Amino acid sequence: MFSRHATGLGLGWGWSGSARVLVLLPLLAIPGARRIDGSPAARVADDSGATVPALDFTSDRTVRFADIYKFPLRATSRARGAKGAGHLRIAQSPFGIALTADGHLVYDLEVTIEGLRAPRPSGGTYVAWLTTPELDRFDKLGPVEPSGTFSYRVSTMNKFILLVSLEASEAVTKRAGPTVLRGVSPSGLMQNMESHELFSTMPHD
Amino acid sequence: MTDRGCVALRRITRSFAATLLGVAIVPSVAAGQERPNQPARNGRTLEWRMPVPPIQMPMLPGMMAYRPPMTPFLPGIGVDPSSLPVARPREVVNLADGDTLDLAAILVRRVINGKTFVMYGFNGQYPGPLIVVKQSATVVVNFTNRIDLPTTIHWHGVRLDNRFDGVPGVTQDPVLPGESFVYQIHFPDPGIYWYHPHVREDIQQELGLYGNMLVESPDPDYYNPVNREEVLILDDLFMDREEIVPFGEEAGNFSLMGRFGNLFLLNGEPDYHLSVKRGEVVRFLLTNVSNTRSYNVVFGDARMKVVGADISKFQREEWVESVFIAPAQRYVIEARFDTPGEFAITNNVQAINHVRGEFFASVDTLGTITVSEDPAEANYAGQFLVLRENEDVIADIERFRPHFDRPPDHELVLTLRLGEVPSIVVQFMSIDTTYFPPVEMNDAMPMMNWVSNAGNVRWILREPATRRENMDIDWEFTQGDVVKIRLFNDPNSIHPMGHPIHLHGQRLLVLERDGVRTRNLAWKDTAMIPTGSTVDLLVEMSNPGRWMMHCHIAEHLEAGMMMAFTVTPSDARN
Repeated sequence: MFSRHATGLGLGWGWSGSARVLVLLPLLAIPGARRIDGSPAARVADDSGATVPALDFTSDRTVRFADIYKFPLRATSRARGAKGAGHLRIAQSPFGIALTADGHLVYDLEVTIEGLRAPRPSGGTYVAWLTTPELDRFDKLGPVEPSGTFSYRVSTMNKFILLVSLEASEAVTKRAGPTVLRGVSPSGLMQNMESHELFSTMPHD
Repeated sequence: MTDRGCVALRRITRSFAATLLGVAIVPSVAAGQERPNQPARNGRTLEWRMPVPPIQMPMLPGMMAYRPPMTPFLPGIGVDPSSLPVARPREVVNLADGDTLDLAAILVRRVINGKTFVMYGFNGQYPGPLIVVKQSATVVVNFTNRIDLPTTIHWHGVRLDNRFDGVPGVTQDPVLPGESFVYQIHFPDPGIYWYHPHVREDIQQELGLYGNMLVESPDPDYYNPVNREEVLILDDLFMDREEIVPFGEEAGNFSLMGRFGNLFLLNGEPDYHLSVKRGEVVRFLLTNVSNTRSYNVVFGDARMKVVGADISKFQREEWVESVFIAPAQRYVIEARFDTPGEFAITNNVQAINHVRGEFFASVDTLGTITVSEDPAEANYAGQFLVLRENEDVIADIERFRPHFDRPPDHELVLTLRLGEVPSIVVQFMSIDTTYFPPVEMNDAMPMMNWVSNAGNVRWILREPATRRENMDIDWEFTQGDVVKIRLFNDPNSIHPMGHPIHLHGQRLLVLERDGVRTRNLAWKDTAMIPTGSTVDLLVEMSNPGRWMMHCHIAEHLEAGMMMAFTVTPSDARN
């Protein structure tokens, strides 16, 4: 049933598709649900007596800005000591959620930078860019100073890498210079699970 | 590494490890597998079948075999569908002040894409009758329940007499099958409203019990002049190859994400079509009656502007390129069709594929519009190009400005408590929860959703100040109070998602989102609270009674995400 081969986790033990089915099926044990009638009061009373919580993430905190809208900018070896952060806010919209016609979220992106060395005279300028995780497209955000806060509208990528590079001038249209800061949008934390062993033989339609 | 990065890495590592460990911990065979099926109907037994997930999000093999631990339910058990009336498109009912409408919820036979289904309908229609009344009118609705479940009617958004709000256990008893209830509805505000049951909405609303009310202002210039007005209801139905996917009889299912449909209906039609003439300006009054789905609606390449929201016009009209509309919300849109041809009305979203950890463009056609070569009889291009400032709305809202900057009177946290679900599901959820979109635009977690129900998921409105939750929260106000409510959608629960929060019987302003003041206000009754966001609502407590506040994702409501508050009449103080 089990065969020894390498897995993505380096644990050494893999298992065949049929073995997965046999082993995983019994895992799916769920306690029975209770009868619920149409009355909210009854429903709540019933819910409150429901199964013992396995996980309780409730908290009393109320914070104004959740960290899922913030991400750090880290310096490359060319800019040791520099740092920064990106802060996304859902852009104003009469609908509350701002979307483009093709469904991209529209964010106001605030970029804060600290500690970049000022370029030498005629030594170029720092420029901020957005790119996809595949690096197949670069959208220029605009020039940035070695320190400060800069605001942009982001509406073309739901998942992106933010780069700051040192360019010949602020007029450049293509990124060519060395990267000094980079960060990944919070959506970049989404995991690709295709490589996980459990998903390798998933049935499709 | 940042704290967040560490947490994410820990979660992933823990998840992978626990997933592998999980195979060694073998509990008993799934209880759900042994649940009874529903009795035979028309020669076959109603069984749970795992809906085929989207091709982008295949299921784990074991998940395909899982069956919910409830009896599957679809309406009309033991009824020969051919004995039921064929549902017919909605009719317009104009009611004058004092008029009476007889309204019955009944079983109907619907044929959709060549297949016959037993569904529900108000007066046998899909959607229910479009009730057109004048502002300040009061009408009587004699309602009779002829379906197989207890029910009520909630008149969504209408600031009516509390006795007729249609909430079982709060304002009335459920109307049992065969029984009747008389509603008296007063319409103080012009705009587009809707009615639906407030008992097991996840079943009854999904299966066709919904309709609109159009309340006309006596001011002929209340809206802009247009060539035509279209009242559009957005809905989605969840089907598999053979049948509507069953509901849990004892409790709601799909409680985690809610029930995302896969068949789109405009005004109950899978192939809605509208013909207009070149240059026509059309006012669309949109209502989203879907259990769960939020839409991003685009009308071909037509230029459009947003005019109004749930309960009023906006302070200022705005050009928009699409319409984001959450469950239960309404928007008034005006669009001009300049170019002859055929155009699709589409739902354009960037959906999430959690298996690949990426967004992908998803476009679904909701209907079509044909623009003929013939020019429109009346040309309203000039008026359309002007973005109106609505002085009446601005003046009305200005009265509340003294309340804008004061601290909130009440705070709520939106969160989730998860009961016993398979450990492997929890582990994969932990992987998934490294990122949450502000609003879920697709069912990105079909595996987790399939194993969730109102018995193992409890959605929560939690008041930090009192540590009370849901119906244990007890707020009391006096008529005339203006109350600021701060809602925080906690991103640290195991599965946060955006919640459309609806207040009964009152009107509200979405004052501020994440510290940013809303520039263009309109009175609303339902506000989307995105994941991780803090939203301040300013509520005018104008209407006495005991009222509900809840998430309008039907499955979240069934899983407990509701509370009540009391507004005492101002004359009761004397």
